[in-house]
Amino acid sequence: MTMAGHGRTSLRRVRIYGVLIALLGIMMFPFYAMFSSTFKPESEIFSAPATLVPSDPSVGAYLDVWTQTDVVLWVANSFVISLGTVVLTLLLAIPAAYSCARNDFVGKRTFLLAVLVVQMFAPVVLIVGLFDVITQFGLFNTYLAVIIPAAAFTLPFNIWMLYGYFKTVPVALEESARIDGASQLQVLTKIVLPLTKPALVASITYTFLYAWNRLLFVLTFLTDSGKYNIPRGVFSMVGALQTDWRMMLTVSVIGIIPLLILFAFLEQYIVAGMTAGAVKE
Amino acid sequence: MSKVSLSNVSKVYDDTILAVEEVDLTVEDGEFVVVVGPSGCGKSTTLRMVAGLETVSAGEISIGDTVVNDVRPQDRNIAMVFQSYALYPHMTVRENMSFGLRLAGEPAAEIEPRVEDAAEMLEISELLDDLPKQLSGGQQQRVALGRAIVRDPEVFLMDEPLSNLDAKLRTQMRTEIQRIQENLGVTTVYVTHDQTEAMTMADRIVILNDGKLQQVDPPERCYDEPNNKFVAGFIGSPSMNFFEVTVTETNSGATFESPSFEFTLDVDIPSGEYTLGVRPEDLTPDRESGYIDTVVDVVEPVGSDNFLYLKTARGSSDVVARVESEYRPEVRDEITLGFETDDMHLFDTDGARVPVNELQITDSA
Repeated sequence: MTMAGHGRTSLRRVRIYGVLIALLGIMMFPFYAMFSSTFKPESEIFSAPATLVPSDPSVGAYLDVWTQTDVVLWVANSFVISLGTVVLTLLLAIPAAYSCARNDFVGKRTFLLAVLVVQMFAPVVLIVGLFDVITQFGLFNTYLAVIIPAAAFTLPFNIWMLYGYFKTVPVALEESARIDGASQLQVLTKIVLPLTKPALVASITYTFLYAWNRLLFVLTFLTDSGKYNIPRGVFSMVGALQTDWRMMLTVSVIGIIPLLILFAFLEQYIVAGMTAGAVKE
Repeated sequence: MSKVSLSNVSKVYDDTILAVEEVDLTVEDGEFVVVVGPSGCGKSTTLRMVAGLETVSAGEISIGDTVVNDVRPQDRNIAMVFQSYALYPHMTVRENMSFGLRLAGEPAAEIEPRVEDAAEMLEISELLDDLPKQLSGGQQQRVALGRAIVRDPEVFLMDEPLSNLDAKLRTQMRTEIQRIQENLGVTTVYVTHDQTEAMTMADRIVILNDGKLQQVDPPERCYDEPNNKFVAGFIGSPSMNFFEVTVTETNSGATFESPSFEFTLDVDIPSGEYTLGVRPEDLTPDRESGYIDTVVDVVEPVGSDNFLYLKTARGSSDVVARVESEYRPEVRDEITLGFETDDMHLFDTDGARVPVNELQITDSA
């Protein structure tokens, strides 16, 4: 490459990085503002002009949250609801997606399209009907009252993603396993699922995240404060006369940490799972 | 070990597509049978029915004395080698080979020596802890074979196992599979579209076309006495030359007439329309007593022989001749081709073989 050509490439790269850094800055700023505010006193959070860096950093907000709120319980409840939703979703999505990927049956296409229809409704549209169902089944104020609707709303995406991924597993592998003596369930658990790990991880992450952030279902179906999750806990800090923003932001930061850890560990699988089947390999 | 029997076996897809039609076949205990035919002829479907991976629409399949139509693949005591090898990508070679034994609940102390014995036989002992993606195509093929061997099945089923290998490796593995099969004496059904594999490996060849059995015979018999025009054209490379001829009985024998030639032979064949077949390797340049006048179109040297692609002087039909490497004519040279009467084949208008014995050429035109 000539010097001029090399220079043009470098300049192009600088421009691309410049744009990316600017976009990243715009996206990350609210998170930074939230994070830095947790180290500021209440008065500084709303001071004008706003301060980017806390003038007198303090972890007081974290200590206050620890001693004055049920944050540990909220985190634990968030885990229960999220893990419950993940388990229920996978228990339903894996067999549904696998049978669609491997069998031709009357109404398969209709089924797959019908599943997608669920995605077209915002939860708030269905909340009254869901309330009726939840109370009739005696699930009000139980974790299942949140887990079941959350699973219902994550199923379409999961079924479609797993369906696409299962189709990429060569049928010959399954046939080979059957000849080797594997039952249908063993074929699924010993051959297909290990090979679809990226899609499963993407599915788990998406579902976990969806359930972790549910406020509407918890707000509607759980009145027992002992079952509040993090979003509901944050919401409970909004008072009629006064709102403790510093504490709210601190609980929000604590609520994000498990998700960040999850993403950091699973990022490579998530990308592979989401893009599976996008290009011919 | 067991014999495998197919009795009037048919396979119909979607009630309309007849993939395999009334196949009758018995593979004897310890026999190596190669099923061969062009793409879509039903050979893989037949094998998959034996494996239990496809249902049987009609007829009966038996392994040993048991009818297995309704027996699941895992209960048939067979092992199959796939075209794609179908190695489990997330398992090491050792795990791949022992998968079936582990599922069967064999004790670990018994599995390990069996895997190691099979690995030694296939010279892959040093690969046992590698993943399939770390292996070359040839090594993957050996692992696939090892996985089949280690289970000590009653029947080996092989579905085009060599078609993904390069030519040199294919030849090497061909011999290897033969050696293993001979040593183990396991009844083997091997599917291929490659007639060279069929000719070199099989005790008997099963030739299929359009789902129908064309011939089941030892390789040399399929070559020397093809049942019909399809088999004659399919077995042998390059393919047999065919000429549509009108045979007329005369006082001195029978006259063979086509747009490309006319000659009389001292034979007793009823007048009628026939197809005359002569293999390229049976055609010899013979200006004195030949009877097909041709012009050289292309000369293709392949080392040991030369392939001559010719046009008949009359009618411009295509003819292929395989001649010795020393004989190397120029393009547009005129050549008269002859052949031994023993080497000619005749087929009736339905393509069925008409036996030709003791023919004597008495005249040429």
